[in-house]
Amino acid sequence: MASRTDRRTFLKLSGAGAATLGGFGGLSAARAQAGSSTLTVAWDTDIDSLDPHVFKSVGGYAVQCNLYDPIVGWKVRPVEGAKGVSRSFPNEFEGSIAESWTFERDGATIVLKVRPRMTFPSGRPVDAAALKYSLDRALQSPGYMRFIMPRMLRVTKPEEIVVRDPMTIALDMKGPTPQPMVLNFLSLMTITALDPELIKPNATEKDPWAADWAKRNAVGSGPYTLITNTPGVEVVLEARKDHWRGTPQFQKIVLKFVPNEADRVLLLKRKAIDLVIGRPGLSPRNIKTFENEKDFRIVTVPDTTCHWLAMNQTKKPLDNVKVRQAINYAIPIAAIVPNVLMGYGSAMKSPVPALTPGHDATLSPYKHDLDKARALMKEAGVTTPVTLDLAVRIGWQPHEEAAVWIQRELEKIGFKINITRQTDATFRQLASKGDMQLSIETWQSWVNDPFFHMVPLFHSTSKGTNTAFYSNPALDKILDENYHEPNVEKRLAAAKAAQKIVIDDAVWGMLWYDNWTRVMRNDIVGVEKRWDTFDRFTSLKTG
Amino acid sequence: MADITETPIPLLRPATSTMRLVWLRIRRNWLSAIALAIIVAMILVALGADWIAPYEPDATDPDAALQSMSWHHWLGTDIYGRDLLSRIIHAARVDLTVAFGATAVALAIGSAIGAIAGHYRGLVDLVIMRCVDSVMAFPAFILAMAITAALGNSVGNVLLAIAITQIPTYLRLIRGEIFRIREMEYADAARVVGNPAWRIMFIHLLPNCLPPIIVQATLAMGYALLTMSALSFIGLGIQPPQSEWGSMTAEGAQYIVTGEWWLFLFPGLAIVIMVLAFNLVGDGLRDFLDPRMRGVR
Amino acid sequence: MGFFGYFLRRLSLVIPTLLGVTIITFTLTYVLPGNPAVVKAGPLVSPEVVKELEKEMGLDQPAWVQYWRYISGVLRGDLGQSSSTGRPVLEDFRQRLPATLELTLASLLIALLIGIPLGVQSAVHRDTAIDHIGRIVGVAGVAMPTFWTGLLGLYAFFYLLGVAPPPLGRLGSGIAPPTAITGLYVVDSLLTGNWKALGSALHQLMLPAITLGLSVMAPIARMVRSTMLEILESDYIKSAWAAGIPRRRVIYGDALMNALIPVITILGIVFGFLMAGNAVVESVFAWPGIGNYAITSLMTKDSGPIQSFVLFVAVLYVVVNFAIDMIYGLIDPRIRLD
Repeated sequence: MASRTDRRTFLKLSGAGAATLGGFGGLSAARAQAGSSTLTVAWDTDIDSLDPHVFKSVGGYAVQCNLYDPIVGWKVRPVEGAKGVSRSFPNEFEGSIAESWTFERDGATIVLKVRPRMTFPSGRPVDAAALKYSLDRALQSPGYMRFIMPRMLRVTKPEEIVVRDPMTIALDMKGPTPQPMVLNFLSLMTITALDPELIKPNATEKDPWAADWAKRNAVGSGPYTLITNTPGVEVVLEARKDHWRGTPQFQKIVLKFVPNEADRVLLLKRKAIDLVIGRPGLSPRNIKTFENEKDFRIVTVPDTTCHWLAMNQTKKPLDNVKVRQAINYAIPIAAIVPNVLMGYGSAMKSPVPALTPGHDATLSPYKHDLDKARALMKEAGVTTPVTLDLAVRIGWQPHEEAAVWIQRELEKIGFKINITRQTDATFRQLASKGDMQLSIETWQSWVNDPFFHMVPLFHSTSKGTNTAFYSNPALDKILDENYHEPNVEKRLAAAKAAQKIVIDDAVWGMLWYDNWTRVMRNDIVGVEKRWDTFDRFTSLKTG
Repeated sequence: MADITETPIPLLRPATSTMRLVWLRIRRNWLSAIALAIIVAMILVALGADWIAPYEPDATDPDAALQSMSWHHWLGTDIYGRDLLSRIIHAARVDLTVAFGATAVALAIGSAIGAIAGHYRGLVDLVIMRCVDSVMAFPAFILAMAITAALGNSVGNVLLAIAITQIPTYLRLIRGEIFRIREMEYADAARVVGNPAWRIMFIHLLPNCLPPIIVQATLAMGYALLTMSALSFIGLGIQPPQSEWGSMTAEGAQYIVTGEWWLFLFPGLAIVIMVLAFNLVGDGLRDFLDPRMRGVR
Repeated sequence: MGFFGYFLRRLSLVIPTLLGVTIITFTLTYVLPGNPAVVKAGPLVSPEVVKELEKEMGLDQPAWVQYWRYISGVLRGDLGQSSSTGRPVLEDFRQRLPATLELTLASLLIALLIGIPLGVQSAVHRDTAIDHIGRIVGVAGVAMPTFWTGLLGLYAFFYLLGVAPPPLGRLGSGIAPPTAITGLYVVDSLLTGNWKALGSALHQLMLPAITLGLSVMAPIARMVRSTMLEILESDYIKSAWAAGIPRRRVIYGDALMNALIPVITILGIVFGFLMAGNAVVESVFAWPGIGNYAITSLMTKDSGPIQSFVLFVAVLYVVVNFAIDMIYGLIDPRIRLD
């Protein structure tokens, strides 16, 4: 075999013994380690910050998922018909750092009971004091948590985080709060326990929470510890022997930085890596090529990621609801799902994802109907062809392809569409400045809650994420009044009313929900998919 | 050892006829002649793209996506069902426009500034030359990359970026030539007779500058194509849906592993062939026009 | 003129050049679209926070103030922060520079090893088939876009044949880097006798270095050919032929040695090509060097690394060319008069 001659060449070159060169040449790099305990994973990002409270990008989060424990966790159950795959289900939780919890004051206070004998890698206990320090830090250190925690939990001051006894801590919220939303929020990896004794020595007067230091150092209680982080090359994680979940089979995780998707496919096909992670990691078309390969398995489960055609309402004629409805009648989603997503996704029926509580698939009247679309265009008074730009991001293969399908149909109802491609950063900037006309956008709410989902996307005060620049006082009122509504029935009814407004106003050109899909070595089981999409390596096994 | 000691064909041998000399040279340089034919053919293809291309370059046909080579689609189709051959043919327009355009712009600006530097000398020359040094301190591709990153990747900007990297060469050529002529005694003599300075310049400058400029410009067009394709590869090239060989190759790269190799191979080959042609013609012209010159850029 | 005078004269040209370089790099990033404050803040932060950050980063200041801040930062070694790695750019550079240097030097070596014999043979067999083939090989090397050859090579030698290693960095998986001395894995593993690392490092280098080397080989071959031709015509060599000194010794001894001196002058240009080609080749092979870093940063509009990369390459290019001028000035005193 080719790889053998290659090895021989190197033996000549190096004059060293043969045994030491095992697993060399890439052909079987991953295979050679299969029996052992190393998992080699390809991903496409660097870690911009390891500080969970900062939360800026998925690069940090993906690693934090393995270095930290959440306070509460999303419970996973096996997916029927899929071997070795589990996923989270709406509003089902399990204990993590908090072994159990209770609500007091009609749901205005949550009391968390910390898991006994839980430790940081340093051996120090994870107790109520450590949790208090961490929550105080989340509330006060620079970063995203400082903004989101008061908004979600309505906890604004450290005094509202109370240690009741060494293993019990309570959060006093401003008022009764929907329990699932609280638990969803506490399941995020961005709000977790950090080892206070490692943070404190690195704090300075200017930086009391050691934000600078924590950017580069992991101080969690999770199943893995960070061994090396070489930006642009690899990140190496090693399993803890004393984690409360037990010892994972994969003792060592090597995350290889492979920014180029074609390279990721190549590496996987040559078995130089075991698994590709990331968002999206591999495009549907590339995933499809693994369908007939016996050495690989494709794991795919429905997910909450939304993709839609954003229509900027500050641009004419997109301010006209009839035009937006016409566009919804022209989108050929039934062709896009099999031809672009290759079946790894499903048509969107509502801006609230199918897996999110409150989702109602019956509200949308839209289906591909060009006559209806043309009639609506006529009603809107659009007779001469309108030229619009449709922006997509470079490297987002399904978006680029879907744009062409959409272009073809929109041109049939009186548009002239120019597809433009932008880098991520330019795209974001154009969108937030309101310079887009049409664009393909995506969003996933990791807190699986209809209001958490709709507020940033449709509330008139949400800047940057309300890509339509949609403003409707009636909708704002429903969202504001029910965000913290503790009555479950009432809240779901409100979610339905809000959905109806958004659908009737055709705020989005509805496209699809992505599946969560991974391609991996065919002997890997124990795959667990949670709402925040990122892989927990601790549950993975061969078998 | 005859092959080693043989002297080059004497330049000043009394020519029986110019045409004969040209023919002799072409025979010696048959490679360059073929290359020139390729360039001419490609220009014609680009000009006549609308008639030659079997399909509309941007006409999508999702039902015919990713087809391999066939009688219907000689070079296959891409993911949107667009005919690859038609796209390559139409891309020739953009590629050649940028290659010729960048060279023309660089030549115009370079000559103008070079003439200014050569004419005024002194402080003006000093300042201009320090600026030129600064521009030349950047490897051409890196500078083009930085410029397109800053200005955005439209056809005009890519053209401009490539032109900027080429300006110093022409500028220095012209300036040097002007300096040389100024020193020459016959120029002084001509001046005494009362010929205006620009005329002296023009008459003496042109025949001296033209050969190296033609050689330089030919080679530069090849580099322009390469730079453009590399810019496309790193995502800074010409924007789709405008077809361009470099961006087509870069896009095609995604499909090698999934088996649609033609999307990567053919646009890349178009670049290779054209750059090769420009280089061979440039080489040939160098031997033909100016055997003494042997610069490397 | 003495060498020292020549040195000073050249040096006095280098300083304004470097100043110009900083002005150009600053201007280019100043107009670079993509608000650095937005990039730094991340996608989920409100416009007020971005405003605050802009102020903090001095983005509301006039251009010349920002330039001053930039240039004084550069002189202090402060190249700013990378928003994708969250580290100072200088630190990222320090980590990645050896990878780039190793690839550059290996490619240069390959280019010389192929280019020089090619040039010699072309000159010796002038206008024969060998000359033509040599010319086509050389020109073809230049004519192929490096990303195209690189990907073809990867596809053929890694994917189909399995001869080349996976493009996953500078060492095979599970192989520890040699003790750091120079940072160049090949050199370090030779120095420390770490044969396992040496084999792996060479193996990983093979494909990218050949790809890059082929692309810059032509100018070397061409230069060698033309100087060789000149020298072979000289009376001195002709008399050597006449004296019956063996052909190989004449060609590869005296003639080549003399022909190589002018080759030094084009090494500067070759180096420029290498630095430029590096960026693309590194990106194709996921080589963890500064070029790849810059290109990844281009995608995320992470201006710190791009600006620093462009600046760094330009400064390096100036320094290398200066050094080459000096070496040439030492070897060939005539040049000092120019």
